[in-house]
Amino acid sequence: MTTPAHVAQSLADTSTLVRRTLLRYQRQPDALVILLIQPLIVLLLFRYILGGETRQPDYVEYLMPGIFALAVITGSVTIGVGLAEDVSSGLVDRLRSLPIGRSTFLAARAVTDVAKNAFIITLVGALGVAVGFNIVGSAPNVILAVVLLLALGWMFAWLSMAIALWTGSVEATQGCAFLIALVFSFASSGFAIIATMPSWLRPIARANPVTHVDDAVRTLTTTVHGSAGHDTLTSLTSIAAVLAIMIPLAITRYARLAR
Amino acid sequence: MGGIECQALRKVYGAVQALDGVSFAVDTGKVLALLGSNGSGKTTTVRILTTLSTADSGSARVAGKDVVREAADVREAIGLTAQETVIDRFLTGEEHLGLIAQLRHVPRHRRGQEVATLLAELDMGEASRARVGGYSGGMRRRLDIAASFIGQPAVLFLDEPSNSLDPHSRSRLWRAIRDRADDGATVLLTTQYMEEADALADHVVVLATGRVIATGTPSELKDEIRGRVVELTLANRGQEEKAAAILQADDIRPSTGESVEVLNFVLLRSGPPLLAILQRLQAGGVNVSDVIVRRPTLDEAFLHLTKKAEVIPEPETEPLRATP
Repeated sequence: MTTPAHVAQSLADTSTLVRRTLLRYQRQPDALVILLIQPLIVLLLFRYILGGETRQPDYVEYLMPGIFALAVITGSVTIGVGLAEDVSSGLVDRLRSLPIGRSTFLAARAVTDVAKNAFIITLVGALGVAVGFNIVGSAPNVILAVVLLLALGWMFAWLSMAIALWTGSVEATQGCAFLIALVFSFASSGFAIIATMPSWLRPIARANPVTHVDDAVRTLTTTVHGSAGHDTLTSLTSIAAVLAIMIPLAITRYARLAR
Repeated sequence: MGGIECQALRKVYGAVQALDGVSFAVDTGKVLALLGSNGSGKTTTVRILTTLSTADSGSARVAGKDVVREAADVREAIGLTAQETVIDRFLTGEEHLGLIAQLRHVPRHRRGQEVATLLAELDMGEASRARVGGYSGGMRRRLDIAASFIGQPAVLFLDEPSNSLDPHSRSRLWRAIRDRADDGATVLLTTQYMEEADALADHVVVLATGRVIATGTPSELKDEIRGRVVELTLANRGQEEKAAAILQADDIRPSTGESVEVLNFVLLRSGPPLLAILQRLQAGGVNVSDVIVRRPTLDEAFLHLTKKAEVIPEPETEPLRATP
């Protein structure tokens, strides 16, 4: 039976493991730098090559939500790769032999991912401003946009952890992570207007949760009085639906690892 | 009861029968050595007893708790050193032990002292503030072992703990294991080093192809050979083949000892008298300059038992208790 004491202990254990991972980023900052390189390159390519081609001065305003989403998705799917490495190295076994809850390690990883993504969003935002991104949304709207991006990252973190635990292979997780980041980021309204896409791709792009986050973040950050109620609600609903499947899948698989 | 008891454990991985009815028990405060060749089922047994895996059938209790139904309680009671050393490279040794102490829920006021004591006990004092990434294999192994001692667990599982350790560190480890058993902890140790089992174990269980093929104290296992080991030193080199041919007439198959002119063989109590063998060698023109007759080592007993098991599998299904 779960008692308040169990919950408190579980939170304390999660906090211990979160501090461990944050310490790792602090001592090995190159891991964070690598995560920033991809969105930075995509930002510069799209801003100065495609942006120039479209001759739209406000293309950067359109582009930045897609870059934010790409950054958090790329960062979050790597969590699965790290988990697959921990499983194959035996670290997960060591933790599973300790008196901590079965979901504690996964929860700690996902919480760490939120902290990491908050840092990445800040840096990508600064880079965006440097290349002409003009944030005009109100402070509450900008905060809501950040929350949506963090929720999106949280969803991809659990998705990639579920994949890592079910495939049990670093290589397979890496392949899936790359594919997921690519498909979800680009088959969305992040980089191009959906109406310009081939007809077969449009329904996929419209159903993609990333599209709703992109649209909501765009409205919340680039308009003064914009209302993103519908996209915000749709984003949160679709993220919650994916999490409702992925969290139990990951935790169940973690508990039964190598049985 | 803080001991271990398992009953008819079976486990299949695909087409491989990893465990086939393994049963044994060990009382509180005793050291049990689980011996066996690679793939004999030692690690599978440890994984089941430490709740990392589940048996297909059979049951097990550790520290009085069922490993499946009361897995969380079992994890509160155990410390595990796995076969592979697993430590975060970016932490210092001290931080690593501190992290494990927190996760083992050692009270805050005791953590620092316990970590410092363990670091000193396993001779890690100087390096404890350096990051683990710079440690040698032996230092990492010692740190990994120290981590399993955190929180003074009632039952310790040490899966080949001496791997990568030099003789000095191994000796310290043996003392640390003995101290914990003297303090009441139950220890299950798997090892490839027979002298380690001989030095530490109160009781030995030998596994082969997932079955218990022998059990007893190290002394009892040595007596399983029912004979003595004879070491013959030939007076002249080049007579080894001739000597071997003469010995084979008595169904004795010698092996070469420390040097080519030394022949070792097991002389069973039911075999011919040693004097008769020596006379036959002399009559055949083979001169012997020295004869040593000794009790078999645990190494020789292990080889004898596992070789015998390849011919006649002997499954054990009844629990075999390590007696005080």
